[in-house]
Amino acid sequence: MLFNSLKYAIFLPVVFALYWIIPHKYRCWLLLIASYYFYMSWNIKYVLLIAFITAVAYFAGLGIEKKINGKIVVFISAFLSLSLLFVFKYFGLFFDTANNILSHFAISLHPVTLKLILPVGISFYTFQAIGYVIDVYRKEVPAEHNYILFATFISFFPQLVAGPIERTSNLLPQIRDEKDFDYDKAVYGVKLICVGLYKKIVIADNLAPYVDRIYNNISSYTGFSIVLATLLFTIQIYCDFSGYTDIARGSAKLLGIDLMENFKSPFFSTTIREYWSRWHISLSTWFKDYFYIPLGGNRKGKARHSINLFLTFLVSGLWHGANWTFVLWGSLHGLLRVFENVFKIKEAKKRFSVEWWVRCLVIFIAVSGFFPCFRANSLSDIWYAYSHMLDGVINPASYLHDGFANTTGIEMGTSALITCILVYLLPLTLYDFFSLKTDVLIWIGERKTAVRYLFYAVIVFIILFFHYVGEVSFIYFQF
Amino acid sequence: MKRFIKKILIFALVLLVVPLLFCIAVDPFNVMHPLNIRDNGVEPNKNYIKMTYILENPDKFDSFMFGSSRVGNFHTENIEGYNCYNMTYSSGLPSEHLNNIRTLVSNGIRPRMILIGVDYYSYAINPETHLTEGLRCPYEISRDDPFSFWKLYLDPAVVRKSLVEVISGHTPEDNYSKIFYNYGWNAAYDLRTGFTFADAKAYPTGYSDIESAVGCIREIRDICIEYGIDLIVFTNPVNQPSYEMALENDYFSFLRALSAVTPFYNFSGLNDITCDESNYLDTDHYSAEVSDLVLDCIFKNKVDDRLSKQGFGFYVDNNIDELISIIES
Repeated sequence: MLFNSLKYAIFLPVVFALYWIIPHKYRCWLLLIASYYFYMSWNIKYVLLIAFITAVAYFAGLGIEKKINGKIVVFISAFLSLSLLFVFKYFGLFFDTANNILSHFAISLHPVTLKLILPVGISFYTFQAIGYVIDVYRKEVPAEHNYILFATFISFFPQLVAGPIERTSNLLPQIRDEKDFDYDKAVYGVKLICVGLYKKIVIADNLAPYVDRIYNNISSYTGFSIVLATLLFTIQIYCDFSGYTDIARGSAKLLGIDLMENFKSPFFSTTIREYWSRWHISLSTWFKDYFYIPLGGNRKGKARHSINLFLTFLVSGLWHGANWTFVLWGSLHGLLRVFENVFKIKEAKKRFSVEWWVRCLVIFIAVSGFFPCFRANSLSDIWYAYSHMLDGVINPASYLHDGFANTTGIEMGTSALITCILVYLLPLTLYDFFSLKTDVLIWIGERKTAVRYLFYAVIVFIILFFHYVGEVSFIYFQF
Repeated sequence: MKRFIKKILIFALVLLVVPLLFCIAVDPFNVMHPLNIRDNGVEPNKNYIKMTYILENPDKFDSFMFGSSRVGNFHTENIEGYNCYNMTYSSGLPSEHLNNIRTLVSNGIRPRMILIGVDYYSYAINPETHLTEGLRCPYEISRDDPFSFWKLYLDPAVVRKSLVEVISGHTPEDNYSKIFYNYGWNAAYDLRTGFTFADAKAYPTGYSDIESAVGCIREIRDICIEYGIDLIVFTNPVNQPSYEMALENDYFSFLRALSAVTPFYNFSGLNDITCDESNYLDTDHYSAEVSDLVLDCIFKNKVDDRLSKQGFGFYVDNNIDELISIIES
């Protein structure tokens, strides 16, 4: 059940209505049933996975509380959860890699085909469960005794399949605590859902065919086609993922629950460090708290600090997908982050200055420049993309013209280009830019009624008239 | 909460009614009134409209020609001894023809003859892509999944894309609906566009499923056998650039698979017709005059000797290797 599907458009209002109609003591049950139904709509069998990971984390929490050797309990629970993740997500990658390496020594492994479909959201809820166990071990939160409440915390449907990866201290009490309907929060939630839909079905889904055209057949293209497809992918993935997060946060707000922010105008960053404090914040902070700091963080000398930073980004890359392309992507970010660290490059001091704008552009180009590693289907495709990006650049006019024509295809004329700029890029840029200063949705909510409603009507009309026809899954569901 | 729900409902109602009325009023694909279409400059959903029309007028025709728009310029009224309707529609695929023939038969319509034109696109277009295309959403969807069907046509984003053509001041063609309902063809005789092979845009689709496409033709054959319907299959005389592209994309495998299922007439390959750009209106469509040559060959056994030696009109029945050796040379 995709957020951008009609099923969800029925599912959410039904859950919303029931949630506020029934007494508080039944709400947790309702959320749990709704969440499991939501998850089972993808693949009914994989509900066992989430049930298993929930049980492991729940009993681990209780074990730690009962003073059983905490470290061992954390290790066992993490091992069990990560083992599942490994089997379902990484086994194929490591088996194929081992086979490739051994084949150089004339050794071939017996072929093993598990034929497993990657369960949606497994990386997200596995990490949320591991985070809970570590939090209990660190005594940052008490172990949860109410199994239904805990299972709801792990499976809460708005953030189940693609985050934000929530912290126990933020989400669990909100599910537990009795609350009354909050009109302002619900209205804000609806606005967030509209923003998310705008990003997803108007921008990301409409850009996807252009990106796919190039990247699914990259060896047929050269020059600016690859550059343009890469830039479009940067916008596509941002709108796809942040759009998902907006809908997730909006859906949760309708139920009176605040999920953490996951994106804060990431393309207005002046360093990679700042970029990662604005992009997929819940994952960045998860890795910081549960991986980077336990490794030693910046406490064990400059060399270890750099190694820790690099390792964190490398593992974060692997988290994204079972392909060495993601490892390379994470490594490139890690190298740039280490570079910043070694040369003590800090964020621009004065926002909106010329220096700030230039550095934002540099970081945007760097981040976009790494995305071929994220989008390309193989390492050889990545190599091809980088080695052919500048083909024909000595003739700039035809370089740009041919690249544009190849990427957009024959069907995209001037009017479509104007649509692309006016409907996709300009509103997104303005929204993110003004979000640096204020909460745009609250700001709009404070305008005069006529202005406010005109704005809402325009947004809804753009969604209705310019959305991509068809349902496209969210990119991050595959992680 | 009541205040919230009231506001949301009023807002949603107002914002949804306007686009809904817009879609019904514009109706670029003519699906709202399939028995009374108008020429608004947008190609209608011919699959849906023609099927609806035939089911409403079950006795009007005794034979049908199926295929993609490449088969769209056959003046089937000229086929002697039959009252044949050109059922073709844009990107018509074997799976859609199969469903339509099933529907005709299950509604008591027993054609005397069915003609089907096939080519590279028969196996190189994913039928699922048609489900979200206003121009091509199959008739069967309107029957099996009416919600999805009408959701598509009441979607403002689908309608918006055709709005420019609708409001651009298109001059309706004379006798548009008369030709549509009585004959079903697209282009009149003598229509020329000045197309040259240099303008050709023949690209592989990136999709291929010969087994499915031929499997559907097998099922059509079985239905025809069961109901005593004459089935005539032929390959389209696609032009040189399109043919060369098809060759690079398993076209011979398709011909071989097709020959294992049913005899067919071949008009494809490089010959005096397909290498002459004046016979084509654009990359994909040949003229009504070429269509007549195909009909003459099938129904009158009349074909120029030189063309015949080039494989144009070659009848394949357990002799596919012979055809391939002819058109390969």
